[in-house]
Amino acid sequence: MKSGHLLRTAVFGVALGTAAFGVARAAEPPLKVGLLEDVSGDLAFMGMPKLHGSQLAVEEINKSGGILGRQIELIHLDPQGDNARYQEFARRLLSRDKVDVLIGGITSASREAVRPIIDRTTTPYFYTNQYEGGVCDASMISMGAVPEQQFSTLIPWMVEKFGKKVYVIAADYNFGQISAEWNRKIMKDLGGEVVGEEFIPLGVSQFAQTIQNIQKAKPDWLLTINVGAAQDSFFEQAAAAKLNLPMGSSIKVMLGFEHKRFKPPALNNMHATANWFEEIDTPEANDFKKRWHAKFPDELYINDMGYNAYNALYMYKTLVEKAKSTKLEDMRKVIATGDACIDAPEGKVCIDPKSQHTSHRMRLISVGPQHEVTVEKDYGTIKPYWLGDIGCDLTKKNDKDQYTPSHLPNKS
Amino acid sequence: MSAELFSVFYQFADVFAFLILSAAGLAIVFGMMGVINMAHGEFIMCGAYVTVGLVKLGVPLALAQGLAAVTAGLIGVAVEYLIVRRLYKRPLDSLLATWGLSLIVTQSMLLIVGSSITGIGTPEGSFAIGGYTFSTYRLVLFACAVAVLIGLYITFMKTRFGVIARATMQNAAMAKALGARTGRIYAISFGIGAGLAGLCGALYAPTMTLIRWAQRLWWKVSSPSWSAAPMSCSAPRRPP
Repeated sequence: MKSGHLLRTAVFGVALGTAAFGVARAAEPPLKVGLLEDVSGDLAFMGMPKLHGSQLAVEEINKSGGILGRQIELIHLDPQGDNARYQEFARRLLSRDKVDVLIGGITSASREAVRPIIDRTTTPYFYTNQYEGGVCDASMISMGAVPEQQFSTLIPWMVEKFGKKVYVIAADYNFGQISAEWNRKIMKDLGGEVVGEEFIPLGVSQFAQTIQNIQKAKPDWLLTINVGAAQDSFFEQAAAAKLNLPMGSSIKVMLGFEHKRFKPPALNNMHATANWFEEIDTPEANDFKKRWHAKFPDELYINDMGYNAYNALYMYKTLVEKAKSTKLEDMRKVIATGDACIDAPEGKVCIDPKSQHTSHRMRLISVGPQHEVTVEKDYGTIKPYWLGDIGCDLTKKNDKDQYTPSHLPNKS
Repeated sequence: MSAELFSVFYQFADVFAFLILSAAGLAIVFGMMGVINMAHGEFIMCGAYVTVGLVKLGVPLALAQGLAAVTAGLIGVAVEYLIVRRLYKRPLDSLLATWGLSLIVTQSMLLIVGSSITGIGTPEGSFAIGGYTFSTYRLVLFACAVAVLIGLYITFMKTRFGVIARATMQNAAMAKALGARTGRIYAISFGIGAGLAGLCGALYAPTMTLIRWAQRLWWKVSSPSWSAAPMSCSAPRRPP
């Protein structure tokens, strides 16, 4: 009697164990993707499309079978534009949720705030914005465009078309300061003149003084790298004061969709170089836009950040599947082959092994008086060559530094 | 030379208008009533959103701005009646309550209206002096700021309501003993404060990006750092 009971228990136990094993085989734990994007605060209007792009990509990838057969679980936290929260949430995602990959960050300040935290882990990090360039860090993969793709194309074109005198309005933090440095360097190489530079604290919304400073300096064109909803008020106020100057930027139109947010003709005569803008009219781009708007019918504009955020997940999928591993070092071996490419809506984009930045097809666009967007010039695919040229080679050495034209690696 | 002089005056007028219009309501609610209204920015936001909404429905701008100020004022009376009235003797609690209201309203607007909304454009009109060009609307704002100051002076110094209001603020018990309906005075004063905040939002709505920027305005006005950036009247809470 007693032995019979024991036997039954044992048989039941084995059966249960087998069943549990079977379940575990059928559903492997999902891949955790940590996402840090502002969906409230001064930058929410940019962060919202980033969240949407990530959600769309996750939905599509999960529907088509996930990554290596594993589903993706997206864990999004909203740091509200606050760098201290960025750090807190990055720590939380890395150590508590133990995410397999971290994606996100809007301002360069937020990226630099979380990068040292990520560097202490072995988790890969995707930064999905265009930015001022120069980060040479093995943990970071940059999906957006950088100055050699944006400024080295735009500024010579502006100088040739409008003249050699430029006035710069920039947001006063690392993005604005380093972008202005790039402008100074390129203008010097072209024999141009920077007749004024103004660095504006984030959150400033009144520009009467700036407008008069510009009129006093009499530039041929403006470089507008002001950031955030408050600073964008410049366009409305400049238009009301009939400033009427040509403008160039690395972040306007395709990123901030000012031409959709302001009443024409506030953004008239704005020029930008971009790897993505919603007006791109190719079959791949149109198909992508259709899928996006089907999921998010109220989206005012699919900006380049949202687009890059979408690509980041596909790039992650490609890297993991080629490496057959979610480990950063294995993924980096794939990057080192130069074969880390995806077919994005803009065309084929690849990660450069030396800098872990992404090649992009760049186009120069202009905004007209009715805020219509036209493509002025197609530069084809431009590689992110600058970091490699100055001596950053992540296949050999992890610098964990950000370089600028005035801060170059030590020759050794 | 005259162009330079006018330019300086124009910039003075611009900053003057922005500070006066954004802080006039605060002067009444905090300065007179002693209530620290953390939701002041939300009344500014209310004025801005009502203005933009009405203009998009086809209401002429000036009328929309007037209606927006009135709307904010009426909401202010309701807020006073429902929340602030219960907390006159507990100033720190009123601070907390209005701050909570501010958070609720800001996030609700984000959920309802979204993170961006198309602007309505500044009214046409500009003029040139020397090498400078100026927006006429900015001088309209200056005129409005001066009018608000004069209007407030007359209301509180020259009218019967003003005498009773000041008496209520100085000694509510005595004013009540003398027959003043102090509850109503408080509600109306708070309403005027909120209405002026709404007017600020309404007047600046065409000139700015429309986001829920208004609560930042309050941080700017209230934080000592605004003096370091006088053009902004607003400093971000933390350096980004």
